[in-house]
Amino acid sequence: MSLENTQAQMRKGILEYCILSILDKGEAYPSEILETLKDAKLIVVEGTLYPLLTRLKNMELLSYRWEESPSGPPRKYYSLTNMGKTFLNELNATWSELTTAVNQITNKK
Amino acid sequence: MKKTISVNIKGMNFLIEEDAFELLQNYINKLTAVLQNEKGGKEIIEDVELRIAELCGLQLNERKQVIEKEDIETILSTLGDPDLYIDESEQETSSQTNNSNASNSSNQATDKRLFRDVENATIAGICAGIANYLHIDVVIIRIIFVLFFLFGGFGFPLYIILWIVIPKANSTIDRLRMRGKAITVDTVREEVESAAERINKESKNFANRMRNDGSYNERFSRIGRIITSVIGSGIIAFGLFLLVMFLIFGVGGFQFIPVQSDYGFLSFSELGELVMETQSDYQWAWIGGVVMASSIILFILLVGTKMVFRIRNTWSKLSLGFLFFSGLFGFIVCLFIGLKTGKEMAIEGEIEQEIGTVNTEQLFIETNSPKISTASTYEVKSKGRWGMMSIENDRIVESGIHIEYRLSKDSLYHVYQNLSAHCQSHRKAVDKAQNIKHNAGITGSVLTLDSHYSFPKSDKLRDQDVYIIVEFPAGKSVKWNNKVIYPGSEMNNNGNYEIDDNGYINSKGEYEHWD
Repeated sequence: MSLENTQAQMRKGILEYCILSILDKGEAYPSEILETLKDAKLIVVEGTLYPLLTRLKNMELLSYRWEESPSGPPRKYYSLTNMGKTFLNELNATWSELTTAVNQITNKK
Repeated sequence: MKKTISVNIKGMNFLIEEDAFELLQNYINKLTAVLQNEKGGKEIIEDVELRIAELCGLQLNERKQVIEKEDIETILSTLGDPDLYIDESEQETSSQTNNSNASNSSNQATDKRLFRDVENATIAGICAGIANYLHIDVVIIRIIFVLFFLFGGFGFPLYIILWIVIPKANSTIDRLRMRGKAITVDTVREEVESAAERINKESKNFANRMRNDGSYNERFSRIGRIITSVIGSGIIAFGLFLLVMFLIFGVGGFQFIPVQSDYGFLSFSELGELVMETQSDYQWAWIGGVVMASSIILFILLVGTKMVFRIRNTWSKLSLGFLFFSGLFGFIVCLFIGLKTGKEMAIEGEIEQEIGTVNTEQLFIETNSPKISTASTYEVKSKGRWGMMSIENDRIVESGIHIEYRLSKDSLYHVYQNLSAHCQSHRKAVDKAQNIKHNAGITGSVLTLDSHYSFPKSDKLRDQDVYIIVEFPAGKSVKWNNKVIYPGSEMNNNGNYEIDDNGYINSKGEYEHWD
């Protein structure tokens, strides 16, 4: 397993959590989500986002609505469902546990 | 300079360079393949297309109106390899084997596949299918097939094999795969729309196509149709051949029977005249023959035409029935005349007269062959021998004289002439035999024989024949030219000479000895 691969794996693991967090701040359409993720260097290629969005939507954590765009194709605005919000809260808790754990392990010497 | 095409991506119109479009198409195809068995795959593709439309829109401005290949390359590298679209967390839930199966089948599914394009078919859509597969104009494939068929002829079996092997493009999805097009909502709609157009165009044939709905039935009924057409064409060709033959030999009076006469060859009807007893017999035979032959020929032509053009109406059935009965009528007339003429040949009559008696050591045979007035020297094979017939001044001249050897009861040569003919009664047969003129004579020890004999034309051809019987003393011989012949020179157990020899004088006046 190459370094690149490991990095990709690590990113992918938290990608879901990050998407939910972005949407927690308000609804967004994929391009906006992508922009945020790219700025944070969490995503290199965009393709990985779409399957995740679809899956989260199918899990009923997300819902979307269509909106006409003034300059392009219609946009799919995603937002968190109530279930999504609960799910995110759980993840928040897990994440703080994880960061604590990771810090604890990596700083220990 | 590059060709651009207009595409509609999710409601947005773009002018795009052709190679850029192909690149995009390939990407979507691959993505479709990858996501085929993925839950929500279609939705993902839709999302991606939306994104592509958006990114394309971002590439354009006032001065740049066309999407170029480089733009698409940038967009696609941003989107990433289609393989990345597989949601791995999803994968883990399904079993490993399922996954490999799924990816295999999905790859196959969007690989371009060979289908029979029945919508654009001439026969079974094989050429059209191959043309789709290879991206070549169908006319080229068809020409190649026709050439294969004409030279070497394996085009036909090849076509049949391909017909059986290649599946028919039944559904819209098949049609897209046949062209190597991506299976997306857009392309499917496009395909369905063009199919609807085609159906409108061919609304007349639509009912037909519905009737042959199952691919199995369709395949076999089409094979059947082709075979029927081929057989039908063969039958028509045969009928035309018979028609030409009939016109030449029957009605046209083409003189093909080689006979030496003042007017050269004889035609079929002229020969008939020489055989038939009365003029009315001949006329009836002619009518019967013409009715029978034309009925048979028309029957054959009609059957062939029915097969080729698949005519099924009462008119054609009635015609076939009529032709059958008229043919039967002609046959019965011919049969009747044939039997009547056959009766004329039934009974043999013969007369025998002595030519002379010679007391000599060796009998010489000399032959006279006729100086025939016409220049032709055609020979007719009859009864396994070369004979000849000619017609001169109302007399029929035939050639070929048989010689029979018998043992003389005394020490002298005895020569007899036997003339024979056939007729319906013995008396009439003898009359006809008496009409035969054959010159034979003995001077000294030389037997002079004509190689030909004649009889009146009014006697008709009644198997007239001439036999010369030579009775010779035991141990003596016969000489022709420089050849000495000892007929029956062998003695049998009883001390008698066995005579089993015959001679024949052919039309050229040559002697042939058979022992």
